Amino acid sequence: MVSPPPEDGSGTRRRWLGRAARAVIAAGSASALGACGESLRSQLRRNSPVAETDVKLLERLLDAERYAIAAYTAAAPLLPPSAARAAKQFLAQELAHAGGLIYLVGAAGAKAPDPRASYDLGKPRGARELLLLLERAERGQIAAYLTAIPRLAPGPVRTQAAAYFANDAQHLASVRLLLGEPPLPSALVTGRD
Amino acid sequence: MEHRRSARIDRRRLLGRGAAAAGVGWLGAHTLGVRLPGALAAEPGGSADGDAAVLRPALELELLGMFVCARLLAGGLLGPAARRLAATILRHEQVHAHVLAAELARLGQSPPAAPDTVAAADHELSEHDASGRLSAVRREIGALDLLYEVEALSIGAYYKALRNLGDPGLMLVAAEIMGADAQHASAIGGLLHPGKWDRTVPVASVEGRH
Repeated sequence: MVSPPPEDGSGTRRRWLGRAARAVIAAGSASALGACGESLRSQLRRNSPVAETDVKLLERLLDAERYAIAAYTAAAPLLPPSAARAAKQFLAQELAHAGGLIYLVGAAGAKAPDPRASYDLGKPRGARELLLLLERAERGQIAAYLTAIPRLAPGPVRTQAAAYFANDAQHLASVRLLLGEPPLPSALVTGRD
Repeated sequence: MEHRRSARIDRRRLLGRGAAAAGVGWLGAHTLGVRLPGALAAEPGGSADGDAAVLRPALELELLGMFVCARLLAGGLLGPAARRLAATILRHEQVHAHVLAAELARLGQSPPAAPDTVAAADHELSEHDASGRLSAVRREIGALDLLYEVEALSIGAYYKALRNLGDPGLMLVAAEIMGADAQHASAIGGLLHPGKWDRTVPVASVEGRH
């Protein structure tokens, strides 16, 4: 079991990463909802608001993102340097996705649920098992997005989810590369290959 | 000269306005044939004609990508790693084009024509405001930049399509292809900037160029 980044600044071996994560959440949420958010907001104003029926789908996506955030937070300090740099980059992007999804849930008039107290990441040993954990986390997100995207409405919400999905597909390819596996195994990203 | 042009190409801009969007810039920045459950009704307003019109530009860009890839592979400018990647991308784009053409046929429309000359491909690139031209590629770096730009255009076409498609099954297909094109872009970025993850996967919100 691995706890998500601490929110009170208390120490863990991942303190530095937790701080970075919180900084990104703080800065990222604001500017995400400033720059990309700007565009998304204006799109949502022009179109129908986020549908109530989307809330459950968005919450499932948020849960998958938070699992990946916990996995990257735990794994990054334990990986060799090049993989650690990738993990930190991808963690920042997962945090941005989570911020965007929280915004969308709020736009539907709901409140996003709090993160779970902890996430069961298993007991990976060594760099390879850590990377396999990250691969599973990315596959989980991809499956969640592919379930949600055809069901989400209106269009701007669907495209925002697709833009996060595409980034997670890039993470999956990169993690596969770090594992020494072919990064582009299939012409269609289904999360099953 | 080509190298200078390459340096001007802003991969973050090509891949997603969402970079800033995501607020991470400062950190360094089914398969076809699978039918969705009946509960997934098409959005009101979605129609076969409408969906065909939405998919068509995406197929045009896949055909352009195939032509560009095939020409670059035949041109002898690519080293072994770039050749392997371009060959993989070409195979994937052939699948994408086949899938989209089949969907267009199902919707009662014939596919668009693929470019058949370098001039035709360059004309199409110009119409999409691309900065690269097939006829101007002289070195591997220019070839990779052009491939990247075509992938960014393709991602953007699916991003736009996903907003307007009415058929949930087509939305799923568009998303699966968009994900693959995003992976192509990151793989090309990896060849251009080995080990630089902020250049390889630069943005959190991958919208392509649209």
